[in-house]
Amino acid sequence: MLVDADDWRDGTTISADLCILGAGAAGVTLAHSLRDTTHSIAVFESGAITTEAPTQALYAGTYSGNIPSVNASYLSGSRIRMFGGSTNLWGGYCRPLDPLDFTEREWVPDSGWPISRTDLDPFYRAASAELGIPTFDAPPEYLADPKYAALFASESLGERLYQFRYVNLGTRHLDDFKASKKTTVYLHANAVDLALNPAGSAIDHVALATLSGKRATARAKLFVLATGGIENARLLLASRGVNPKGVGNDADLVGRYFMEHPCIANLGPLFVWKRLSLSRYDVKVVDREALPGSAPTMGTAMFIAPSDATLRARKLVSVTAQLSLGSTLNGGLNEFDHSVMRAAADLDGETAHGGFVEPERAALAFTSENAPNRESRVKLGTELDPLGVPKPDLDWRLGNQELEAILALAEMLAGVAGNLRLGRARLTPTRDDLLHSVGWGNHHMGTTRMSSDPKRGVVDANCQVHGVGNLFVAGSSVFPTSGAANPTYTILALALRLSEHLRGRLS
Amino acid sequence: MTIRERRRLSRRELVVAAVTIVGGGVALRIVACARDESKAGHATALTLPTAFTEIESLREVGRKYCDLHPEETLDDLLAKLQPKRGYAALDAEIRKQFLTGDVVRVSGWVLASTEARIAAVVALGG
Repeated sequence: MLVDADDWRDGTTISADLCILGAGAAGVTLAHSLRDTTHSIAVFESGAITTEAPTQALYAGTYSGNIPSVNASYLSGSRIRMFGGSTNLWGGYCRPLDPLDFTEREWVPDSGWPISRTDLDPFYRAASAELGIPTFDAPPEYLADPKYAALFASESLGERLYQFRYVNLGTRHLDDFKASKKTTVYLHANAVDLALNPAGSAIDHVALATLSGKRATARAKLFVLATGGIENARLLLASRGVNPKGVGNDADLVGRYFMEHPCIANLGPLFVWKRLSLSRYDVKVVDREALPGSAPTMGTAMFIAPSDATLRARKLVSVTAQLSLGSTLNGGLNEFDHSVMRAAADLDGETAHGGFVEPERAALAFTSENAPNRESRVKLGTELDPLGVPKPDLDWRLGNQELEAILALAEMLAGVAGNLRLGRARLTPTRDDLLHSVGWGNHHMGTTRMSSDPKRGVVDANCQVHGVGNLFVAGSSVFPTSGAANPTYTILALALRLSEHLRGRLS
Repeated sequence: MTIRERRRLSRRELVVAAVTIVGGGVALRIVACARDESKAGHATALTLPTAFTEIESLREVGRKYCDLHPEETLDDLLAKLQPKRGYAALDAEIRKQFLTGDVVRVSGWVLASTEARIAAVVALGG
C-alpha cells in the first residue's frame, strides 16, 4: 500500500512489526525481501515518487573538510531524497568488496570488519539475483576469447571485474508495494527523532513530520534506520531526548569515520599500440535500453588494481583504474607527445610491424579506498532545517594514503605498459594538482561503522546498534572500510543479510 | 660542465659526436665519445637497430631530456649507458627499469631512464 503522509490526520500513530526509515537502495531492498512474511512493515520515505525541490532541500548542510574541490553543494548534490533513493541516478556499477577489504590491515588504521567476504558471499549472490546480473563466482565466458586477452598481466597488477546494471529499485518494486497488504510505504514522511525508552536500551517510538506540518508517531517491535550515510548519523546524533550524546553514541563514534571514494580522472592517459586489443578493459555492453543518453544499462568491464601482494608489500589502500577507450579526457597528442610515441614505437619494436601507427588512447579513471579517519565526520550544524532537525556539517577529510595509492597504481600501469612493450603513459599532474581535482563517487560510508566491540563500532555484526536492542542500521554507513568498489552491491548484500536476521527476530 | 654549457662551445672542441648513416639510413650507428681521455674507456659506439625509423623523434625526446637535466653531461650519459654492452642489453635494461620504477618523467611521459638517456645521446650526436 502507498500512503501520502500529507493526508495524515495530525498526531496519528502508526504501528507495525517492523518500521523502516528510508526507501533507498537499502530500505527498499530490505522491505521488498520481507514482503512474503506475515509481519506488518511500515516504510517511511521523506520524498515522493518524483523529485521535489523542498524535500531535496532538506539535505542542505555545510562543509568544513580539507578537500579544496568540495563545498556545501555536495550535501544536497550527492544524493536524492525520493522513493528509490539514489538508485534513481546511480551508474549501476556492481562489484563486491575484495576479501582483503574485510581484513584488518596493519597499514590501514581502524580497518577490519567483524565479518568476512565468505560470510557475505551468499548475500552477494542474492544481490546479483535482485539486480538481474550474473554472480561474481566466475569470469564471463567471453573473456576466454583471445580478443579479450589480459594485456597487463604481471605480478604487480591484478584485475577487478565490474558489472554494470542500471536498475531503479524504486521503480522496479513500486507495483509490488502498491499491491501489498502487509507493507505500507508512506511518502513525504520524515523521521525527525528516534525516541529511546527511559532506560535508553530500545527505541520507544519514532517521531515523524511532513513539510506540510503534519506530525505522527511510529511504533514497532523493530526499527531499521536506512536513510543514507549522512542522514543516518544526523538522525542518531539529533535524537537527544534521553541521551544527550544521541542514540548509539556512547562511544562517540556516530558520524565519525565518514568515507567517500576519492576519484581522479585527469591523471593522464595511457597510449597502447593499436594492434593490441584493449577490449578486455572496455565496457562490453550486454544490454542497451532506451534511456536518456542511450547509456548502456547492462554490461561488464575489467578494471585494473594492484595485486594483493603489491597492496601488502607497498602498504597501499585499495585502488582501481578504469580504462576508458575513445575518451576525449586529457586532450590529444601535441607535437612532442607524437615524438615520444614515435620514439617509443621504435624502442618497443612496433615500427617493425609496418611503421608507426597512431596508438590507442585510454583515459585512466582512478578510484581509491578512503582510509578510515576518526576526524572525518558528520556533525550537527548550528542551523535547523524546516522540520527542526539540525542541519549536518560534513568534515570529510583526506589523508595521504588515497592519493599515494592512486599515484602508485598509475606508475605501476605505466611501468607494466613499458615493461611489456604495450605503450607509454603520460602522467602530467603533480600530487598537489591532484588534491585540487579530487572527485568523488557520491558514496557516503562509515558513519555508523560495524564492529563487534561497542568501543570501536556503532553497530554489531548483525547491524544492530550497540546497546539499543531493537534498532538496526542498513546501508553503507555500517561499512568500517570502504574498499574501492562502488558500494551499492554491498549495500544490497548487507540488506539481504539483515533481512534474514530480522526474519528470526520478528518470529 | 653541463650539456647546456657544452652546447654553447665548439662541439668539435668538447665533444666528438656523430651520427653515421650507412646505406641511406638502413643501418644506423651513433657514435659518441667524450673529450675527457680518462673517460674514453666507456665512450664507445652506441648502435641502434637498423629497423629504427623514428630517429628524429628520438632526438626530439632527447633534447627535452637534456633541457630538463642539464647537469647530465655526455660523459655521464655514456658512463651510465655503457653502450659496449650492445643494444639488446640496453633494451633488457629498459624493460627492467619500467618494472623497478627506475623511470624519469619527461613532460609527464613516464620513460625508462635508459630509454631517456639513449634519446639524449642521439640528440647530442645529431
